[in-house]
Amino acid sequence: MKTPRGFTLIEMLTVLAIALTMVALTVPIFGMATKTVGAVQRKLTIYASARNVLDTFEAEARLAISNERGGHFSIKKLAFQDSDPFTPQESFPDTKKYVCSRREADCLNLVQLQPGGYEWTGKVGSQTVPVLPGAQPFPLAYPNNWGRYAEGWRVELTSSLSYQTPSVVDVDQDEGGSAKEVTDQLADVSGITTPVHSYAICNYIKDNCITEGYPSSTRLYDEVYDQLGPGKEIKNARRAQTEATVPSRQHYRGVSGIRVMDLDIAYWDDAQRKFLNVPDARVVYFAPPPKAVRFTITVCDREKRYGSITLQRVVYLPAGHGQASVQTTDDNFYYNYSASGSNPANPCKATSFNRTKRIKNLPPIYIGDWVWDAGDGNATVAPPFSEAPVGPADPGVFGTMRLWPSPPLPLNW
Amino acid sequence: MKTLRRTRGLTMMEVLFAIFVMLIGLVGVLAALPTGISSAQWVIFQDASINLSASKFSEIRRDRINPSAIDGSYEPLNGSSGGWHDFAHGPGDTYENFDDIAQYEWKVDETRSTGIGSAAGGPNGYMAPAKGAAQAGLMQVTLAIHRKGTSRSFRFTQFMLPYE
Repeated sequence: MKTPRGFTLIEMLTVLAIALTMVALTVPIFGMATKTVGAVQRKLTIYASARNVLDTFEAEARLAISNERGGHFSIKKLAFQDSDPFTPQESFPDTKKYVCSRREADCLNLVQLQPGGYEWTGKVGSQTVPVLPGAQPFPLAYPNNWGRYAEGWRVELTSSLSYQTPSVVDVDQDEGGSAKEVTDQLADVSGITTPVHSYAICNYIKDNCITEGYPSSTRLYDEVYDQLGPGKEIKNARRAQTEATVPSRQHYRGVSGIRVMDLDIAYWDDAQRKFLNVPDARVVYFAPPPKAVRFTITVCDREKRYGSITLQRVVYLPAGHGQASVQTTDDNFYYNYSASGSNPANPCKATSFNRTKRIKNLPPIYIGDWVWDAGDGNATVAPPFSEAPVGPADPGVFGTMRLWPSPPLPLNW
Repeated sequence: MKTLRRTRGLTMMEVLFAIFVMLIGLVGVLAALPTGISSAQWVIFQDASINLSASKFSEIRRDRINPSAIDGSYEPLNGSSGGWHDFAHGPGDTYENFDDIAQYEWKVDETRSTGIGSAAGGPNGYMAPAKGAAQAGLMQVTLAIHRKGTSRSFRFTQFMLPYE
């Protein structure tokens, strides 16, 4: 009988050497494969998120309406130069979009009809018309407004570089609870957000107007003149009334999972048959709206692990039927306000529309309602006919708001 | 009395065979990774296609043209077999800045009159006929987005008015 023998030392060492070699070869292969999968997955995440962002923008823009008095559809073009090493610096950053340190921060302002939505869910008082079982109100996000029906909504789609959201939303706050300053956003482009503000058009019989400098105590608002005309678009978000009994007429929607570094909005010039941008630091009030707009966004993830991608989306506007032939010689005509009187002459003149206006040459009403004195938090501009509260404001409600205009100024300001 | 029995160890050949089996298993695992990457890239293409088709449908609606006679209104045929168009991405073009746009192409794959609104109803039973309504003439338009160099494409369908 033959006794089987075990490994000799040499055999054992040979087997170990082969096994170790295989393991050593496997580890980098696994590492490389895992890294590749991770990169692809991150890109996939960004792609999917970017498309969802564009879906949201399209859904908002397509609800735009217009009326015979020209209100309201406008595009503001603003751009800034960032200081984030994440984006390569160029010698002439203001001429190169998306790939270097020029950040597009456009604003789209429009009006939407109130389509029912929340008011029809049976939640509020006597407004008990329910949606069908299993159905959803649309749009989902609009809240109740003092139990009243809103006639419509002023809507602003913007970049937080141009107009900041009050510090009521976590994603827009810095560590101290204040809205992120523009300088901070430019130093870290993953801090830029694209909020959508909606402000209800309703309940515009206003009392106690004498205390606000008007000749009579009650004022019936002219909807177009006071709410829809050029200059009456939402700019900096307004006060968010958080008391349980007085819910705000304003609503905020933000995108938090992905960061939109660039928000560029071009309009369709039907005569030239191409998409064009409003020149830097200009605004165009369209009447009627253009047939289409094109959103271009550059996005990154919050940790900026995977570069960035740029996507574009053409959005057809059902209410748009304008040629959108814009006069590009700047003018200083603006929608003028009367200091008194409840129904001044209709200021919606043709000179208000379809031409570029240099924002810095327009009155503050076109730039931002909320302009704060950095020293004491008082509002230094409280325009007539605005919903802005008059008198000292509570900076604690808003955190630190940007002074408009203030450094860092937009490019070509 | 218990007899001690000596058990033998593994032979060199047995150990090498075991290593070979393990290697097969590892290769199997590694072989799955490219599949995962490919799937992820497929989903990225799907996302891009959804985005681009929505955009192209918007262009057709914007211009109010008949989707069944679209050639000549947009980008010219790019010469590849199958009648595909590039997405215009030259300087100043609509898709100039869309990431990796050069790898995608599109075409109107199919248009069909649905007959929605006619007394007889649609030929494919899409919708009950609207009594008393005139022929709406909605068209079922299918756009295809193709990724060049692959056999991959997605098709998207919407109902549109056939503007003449």
